[in-house]
Amino acid sequence: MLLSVPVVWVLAVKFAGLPSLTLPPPGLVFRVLLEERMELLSHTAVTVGEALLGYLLANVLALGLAVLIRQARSLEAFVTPWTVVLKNVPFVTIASILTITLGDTLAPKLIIVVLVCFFPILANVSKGLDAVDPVLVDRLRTLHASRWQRFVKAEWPAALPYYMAAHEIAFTGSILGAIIAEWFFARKGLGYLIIRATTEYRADRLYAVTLIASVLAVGAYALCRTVERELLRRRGIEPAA
Amino acid sequence: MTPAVQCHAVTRRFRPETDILREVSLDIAEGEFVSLIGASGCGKTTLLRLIAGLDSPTLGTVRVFGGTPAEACARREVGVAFQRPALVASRTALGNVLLTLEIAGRPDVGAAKELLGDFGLGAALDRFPHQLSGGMQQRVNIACALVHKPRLLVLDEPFGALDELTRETMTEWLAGVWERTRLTTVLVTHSVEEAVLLSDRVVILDRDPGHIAEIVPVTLPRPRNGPSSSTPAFEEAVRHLRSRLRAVVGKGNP
Repeated sequence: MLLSVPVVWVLAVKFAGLPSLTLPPPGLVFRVLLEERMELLSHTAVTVGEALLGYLLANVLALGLAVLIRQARSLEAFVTPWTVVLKNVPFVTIASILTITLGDTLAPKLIIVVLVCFFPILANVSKGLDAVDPVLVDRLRTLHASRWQRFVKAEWPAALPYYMAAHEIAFTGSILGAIIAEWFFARKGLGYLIIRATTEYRADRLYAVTLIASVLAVGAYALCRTVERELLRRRGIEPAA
Repeated sequence: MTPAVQCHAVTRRFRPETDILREVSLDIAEGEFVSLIGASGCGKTTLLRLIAGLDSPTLGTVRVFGGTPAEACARREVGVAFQRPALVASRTALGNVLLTLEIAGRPDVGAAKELLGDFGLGAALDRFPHQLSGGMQQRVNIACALVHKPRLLVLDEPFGALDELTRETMTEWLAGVWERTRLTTVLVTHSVEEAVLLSDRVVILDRDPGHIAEIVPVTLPRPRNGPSSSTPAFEEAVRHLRSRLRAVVGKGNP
């Protein structure tokens, strides 16, 4: 399937008759990738750094909140409306507000990445914790297991496949979130390069950045799937549906 | 001697005006095997959950070894096994049995291995639940309930989901386990043969609301095993219990 991309690309360039300003040939794009590799690499590193940091932060926050809600059910009624509101406000508009408020700092980019990654993790972990076998919980209750023991021994193992599945959305989403955050106000990163290439009518560079972003996102997805499969295989459990 | 389990005028009301159990009184002696039998909805499982400390009576009291069921659970004197094995999918057979010991604060791999070996699962220690047959899963489940050496074993239709042949084998196996341990045991079952083979007394419950209709003693000599289930005395005991059960259940279902 991956091979079909360059084939279609070459055929499109050959038969569509579009100028290279609109549809640059693959050779031109790969030359940009080669000649500007150091600059592209440094911008890629910035985006990946923001994505990873935001992703880690989102994990800490979403896991913490999911566990807190599980332990204190009364919190759910308070937290749910806020999470629904935050989830449904288009994050592009939030990005604009954050950029005006916080300027070209790391904070707005991290917040955007967190917003993109947070909800899939929270929703999946909450669902996974609820999926714990009630019969197993009863067994642990008759053993006088503490809340913490019930969590560690029964609820978390039940939530693990769901948590792993969340990364397929959250980890790849972190790259997307970082790029979008960089669109608005940044001097580094792939998002910034996209804006610069657009204003300079550098379609070759735009395509090069798109290729890098795509490889990053597909790589992140593949990494998630591999880690998920291996981890769950070792634990003898099936991935979450 | 104080009974191991004392239920005194126990009522469990789930909604106003709906008593699942009403004024149930039952004493179970230490070392006694008692089965609860009756039509669906007669409160067997509710009574079992009250004894195991998983629910509380609306009225009346339940005492286990002189204290509340929760106190007995805190002393790790209760072991439970339900129809659906309560196993952690990501733990092996050994890991699941060890889970009980980890919760009890005395993880002893040797004891867990020994018990699984006794249960004929020595070759399946490292298998995950989905790699075990239904009968093997249930044996692991019962090992989980016994490994911490409880004084009371509570079983809720442990073989209810198994095929007929496996169920017979497992019932005889459980009879053997009980002969060795002589644990105070409360079993919920729908099988008359199972109740007769295992029990000292069979408590027949009736419904609307759930109450004890009759208690039938089983006086067959022990040990009881496969061959004993084909003796005339065993068949007579089964016939007698079935007729008593029919008399109770049939009253409301002409």
